[in-house]
Amino acid sequence: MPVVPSGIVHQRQVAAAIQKAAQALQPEVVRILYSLTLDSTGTAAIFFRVLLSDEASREDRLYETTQRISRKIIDIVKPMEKFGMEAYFNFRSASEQAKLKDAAWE
Amino acid sequence: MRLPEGLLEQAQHLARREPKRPKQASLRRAISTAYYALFHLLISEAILSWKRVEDRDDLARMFEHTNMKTVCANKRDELNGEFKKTKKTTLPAHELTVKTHLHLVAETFVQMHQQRENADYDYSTAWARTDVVAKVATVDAAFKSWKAIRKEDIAQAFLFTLLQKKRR
Repeated sequence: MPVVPSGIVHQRQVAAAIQKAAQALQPEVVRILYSLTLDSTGTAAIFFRVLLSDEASREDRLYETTQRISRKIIDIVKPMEKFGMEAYFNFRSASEQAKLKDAAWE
Repeated sequence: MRLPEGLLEQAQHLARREPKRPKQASLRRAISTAYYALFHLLISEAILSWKRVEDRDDLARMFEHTNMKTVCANKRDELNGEFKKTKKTTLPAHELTVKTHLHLVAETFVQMHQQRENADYDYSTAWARTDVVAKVATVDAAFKSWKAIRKEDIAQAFLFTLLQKKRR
């Protein structure tokens, strides 16, 4: 019998946890969007799209900032622990999004 | 310069090649190249343990991307469980340092394996320089972490498992 990841079944809980994470990460994080899908190996996954403020996107501390934010999101959302889903992260700055006007990030 | 370090340097160059208007081609190749830097770093380290030098190139061809990703995800989850169970502060300092470095290597491989797929094959989204610079910096950190622990037993055992075919 196929096993459906808990994250697919409990999408409201996933959304609520992500909302909580976004609030906890203000003002560095402008918003967090996400997709629930399978990754390239067929594992259920959450793909986070994290829009950073321009201040938080400074290159000299980008590594530390993105690592810290990823950890915080994982600590709050617990994608694997609670929902059985792998978590992947993509970041961009507010000014990059203003230029790219990517609907998936709005 | 060895291949892994050369690839990492190339990824760093591509990520910053057009600082004002980065080309998608440069950003996508930076992600892909950074992944391959880590892939080749782990394989080049793993084959050093094989005594017969003349067999090492053939051995290197036996490593498979998806298996390596699965092994890395399992190792990361195992370490997460251990960190949670024992509370990080109760682990001896050296052991905690080694395991934290190994966790970064394993987690970076999992992330970059997927990001490489997206960069190479997924047309649906544009890459931003911020994301690419951060990801290349993470691979750079994983290189440093690996170099700090490469002679540890746990690191050598991890290399051996990269050849295994395991299910999650």
